[in-house]
Amino acid sequence: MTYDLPQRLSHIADVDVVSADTSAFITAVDIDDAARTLVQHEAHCAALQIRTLADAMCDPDDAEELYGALASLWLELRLQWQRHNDVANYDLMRHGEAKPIDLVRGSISSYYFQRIESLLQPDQIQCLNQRALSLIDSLRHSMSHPDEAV
Amino acid sequence: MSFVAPQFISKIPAIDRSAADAQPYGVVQVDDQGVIKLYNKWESEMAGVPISVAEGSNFFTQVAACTNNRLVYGKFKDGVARNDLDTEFNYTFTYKMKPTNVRIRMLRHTPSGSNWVFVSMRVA
Repeated sequence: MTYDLPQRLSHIADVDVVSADTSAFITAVDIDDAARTLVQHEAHCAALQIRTLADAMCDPDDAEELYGALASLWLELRLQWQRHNDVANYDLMRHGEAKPIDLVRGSISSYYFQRIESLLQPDQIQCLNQRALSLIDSLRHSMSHPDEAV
Repeated sequence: MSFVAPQFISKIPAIDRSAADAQPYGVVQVDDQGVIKLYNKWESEMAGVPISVAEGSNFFTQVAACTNNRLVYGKFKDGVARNDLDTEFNYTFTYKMKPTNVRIRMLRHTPSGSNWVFVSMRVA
């Protein structure tokens, strides 16, 4: 079986595809030019970092390590999305509106981890989701009940 | 005024799949833990989650992960614990979708102990 995970990983962070999809998120909200430029830059940086990871672990011997790195990257993006989602919705609840840039950032973070999921098997995705959920819940509990933390 | 018509609310808990699918907004029935018992067509299409995948999964943590916080899931859990829940508020979804403004109503039908989440699109 051909080892093509690095190529497939590079493909999901292809700059043209990412630019087109990011533009679709941006046009869904009323965002000013400075915020638009910033969020596009952030999306391109994320794509570059994904391609850098693919380039660094391109040997078949690196497969296990690359899958591990993918899991970490997925978790990083999943937590990032959680933060953007919470910021946007707390703003909405407190001030009546969410900042467009936070909404676009949320969509972009989840867009990337969804693309990473396209490289994984359903049971791997389920495992990641369960672990992330458990981690988030357990951290929330530990932070609000430090006396109970292990 | 709620986007969910009082006439529809009055039919709870006898809302079946065809009645839910006939609504121009999301209709989701969940148990006290948030596990989906009924997930209508509108909600499935809006969220991009097949009904067969959604039903049996937890709405707040697995299907609409955007709602896994104090603002939504916290309110739900508090309402279920008090046996008193009827709240409606604006929200935004960004989980695997473009930014989407919605209005959410969460309702516990006390006589039957059934819980309902309604979701409608909202113009920002």
